[in-house]
Amino acid sequence: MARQARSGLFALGSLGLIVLGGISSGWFILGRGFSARDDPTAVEAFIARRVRRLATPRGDRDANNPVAKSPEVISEAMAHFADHCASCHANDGSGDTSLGKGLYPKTPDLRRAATQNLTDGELFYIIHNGIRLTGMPAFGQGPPDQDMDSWKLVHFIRFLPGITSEELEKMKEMNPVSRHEMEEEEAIRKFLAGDDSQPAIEGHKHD
Amino acid sequence: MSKKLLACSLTILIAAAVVFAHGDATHIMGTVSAIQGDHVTVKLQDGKAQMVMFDKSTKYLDAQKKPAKKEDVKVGTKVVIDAKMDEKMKMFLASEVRIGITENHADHK
Repeated sequence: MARQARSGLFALGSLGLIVLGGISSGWFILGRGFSARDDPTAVEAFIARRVRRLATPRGDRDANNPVAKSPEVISEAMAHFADHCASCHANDGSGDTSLGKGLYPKTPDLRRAATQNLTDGELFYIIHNGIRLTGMPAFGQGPPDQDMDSWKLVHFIRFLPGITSEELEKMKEMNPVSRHEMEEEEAIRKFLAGDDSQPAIEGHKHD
Repeated sequence: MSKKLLACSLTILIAAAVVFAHGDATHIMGTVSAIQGDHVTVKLQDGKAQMVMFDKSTKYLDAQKKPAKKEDVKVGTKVVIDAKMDEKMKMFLASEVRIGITENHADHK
């Protein structure tokens, strides 16, 4: 009987917490609006990181990288990162891109402790599964134990804090280029060569 | 169980939307008409003048995107500058300068 009462009280308390959370969330959103321009508050960031950690299964968190680190692996992951990740994360992992800075939460600086202190397993879990309610999609193809590309990216994320300017220049050539960007580059080269007939490139530049 | 419940409850507190924002860098395309220290005036294609500021972080590249030097920017040089508005200085700050040919200064008088 006492046990049933305790369970009931626990359920009621949990329900109360959820309702309170909903009300607080509504109040918070109405007060701040839906703009993605702001930075999350320290409380939001703390809670989000805690929730992400709690939501990562322990076995995945503690998983070891099955891919041995080598110059070839870093080179392959560098090309992969430049092609798939750099549009939000930037080649140097700083997150200093139009897309990255426009997201809510902002794309993190992968070179900093908040990312570098995550375990290899946590990094892999994030790349493979993505993170809900953020701009991070699930990139993993197929079952996790066959997703070696994401494990190689984990090595590259560890490599980012020491990346050289020469390597960053090399990555620029690997970044995807849209048709618009190709046409724009052609117009810039013609203009710089003295062709004044090129129309002015107006508006904002998107990284 | 309580861990999961805590995670679920806390998740409700976090409502985020994924919105793509516009870039805040602007292309400035024209011919250098004056240089005063780190301040360069660019005559735009529509004839208007735009002042841009350089600093230590400004990168200089030639038309083929090969590294160039600040000294390559002269009066009469065609440039395409990626710049951001410096809110404190109320002026564009160049992040990257693409440097083209330098035309005879007399042509711009």
